[in-house]
Amino acid sequence: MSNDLIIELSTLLNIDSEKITNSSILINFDGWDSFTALSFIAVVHKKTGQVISGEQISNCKTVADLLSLVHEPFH
Amino acid sequence: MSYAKLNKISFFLPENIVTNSDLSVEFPDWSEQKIESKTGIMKRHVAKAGEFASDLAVLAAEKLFSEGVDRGTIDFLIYCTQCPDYFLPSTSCLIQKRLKLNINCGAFDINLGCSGFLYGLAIAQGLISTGQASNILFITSDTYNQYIKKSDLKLRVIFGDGAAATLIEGTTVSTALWKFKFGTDGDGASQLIVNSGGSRNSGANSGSPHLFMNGPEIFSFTLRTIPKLVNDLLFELKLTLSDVDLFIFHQANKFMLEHLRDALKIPPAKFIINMSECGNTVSSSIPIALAIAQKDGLIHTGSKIMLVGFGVGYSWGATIITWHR
Repeated sequence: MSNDLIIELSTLLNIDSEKITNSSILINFDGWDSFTALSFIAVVHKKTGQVISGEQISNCKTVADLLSLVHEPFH
Repeated sequence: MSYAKLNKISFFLPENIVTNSDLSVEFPDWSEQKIESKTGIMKRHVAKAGEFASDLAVLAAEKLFSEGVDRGTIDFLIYCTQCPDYFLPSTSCLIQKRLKLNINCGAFDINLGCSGFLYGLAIAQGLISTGQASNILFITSDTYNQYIKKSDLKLRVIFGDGAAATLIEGTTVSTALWKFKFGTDGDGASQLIVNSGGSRNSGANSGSPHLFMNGPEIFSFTLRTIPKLVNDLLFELKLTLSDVDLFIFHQANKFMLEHLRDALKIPPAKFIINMSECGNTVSSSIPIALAIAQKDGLIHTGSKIMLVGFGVGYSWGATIITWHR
């Protein structure tokens, strides 16, 4: 699942997925902003039914932190 | 018994327009295309200096009167705004005077944003069905841009200023009776707020005079709340999605709306997204979308239209109205 999520994240950030690692710092991505966070919430909801909160995302520093929020498997 | 019906809506948008091109000049890191792709908005109308929500409200109402509504028949005025002229008196009193409404009119303000149109409709229905009023002028108007910091692009791309004036009349047609569902969660108060200017946080303790909005958190709230609201309302009315002819949600953000539509499995042809030319106009977003849908021939006598408002508060509401001429 984490590979699927990284691919989704790369689409949202408009970068090659190979440029994303678990230790990547979110705010270092040019494309990371509140709109991207909103899109991430939507992707996770669509793929898993899980609703991630904005507060949970704001507490994330790295890609690994973001991925750890997703508990449900992709459909 | 009297029931309430609405079929006359006019709206007014300020002449001053801020396009994506204008914003891109101010914020060179954001191209026109980037703004449009992130928001679905091409332009937004913004009140100029010295132009206030009540001014837009009066203009929307005058437009309604010019289209055949007799101001002499209005016996109640409801004004929904989060941009009042003063803390007191109610801005509805000032609007009564400017519109030259009968002094026997009742009038009051509602301080709600994105859910305000639903609450106003519910109150209007209550007044009419209990015989307290027969012809209610319900005006919504907001100039959120007055609260937005000039350097806050994320909010400037979203919000537009505007007003809508709706006539709600009594009718004996019983299918016009509307069932509402509401909700409130003050836990969300800090997620969309102007943290100063009121009695709390004044003077030395004054917070920021600018609008703060936590978009991702509000989206989460929407996902937790709105699909259930829609399904609960349908269940209570013993209806299914296919029984509803048109869905008009608060026009918050195109991306959010498309996701909700997809999650609820509402066919795109029945789901109104009409904000590219005016942005998020807060309490006026639903009546403006409804007026445009009417003008575009999407609504007919007997059309069942679901209206869903949600946002600042948090506050939410939904109803299904049956359109009558």
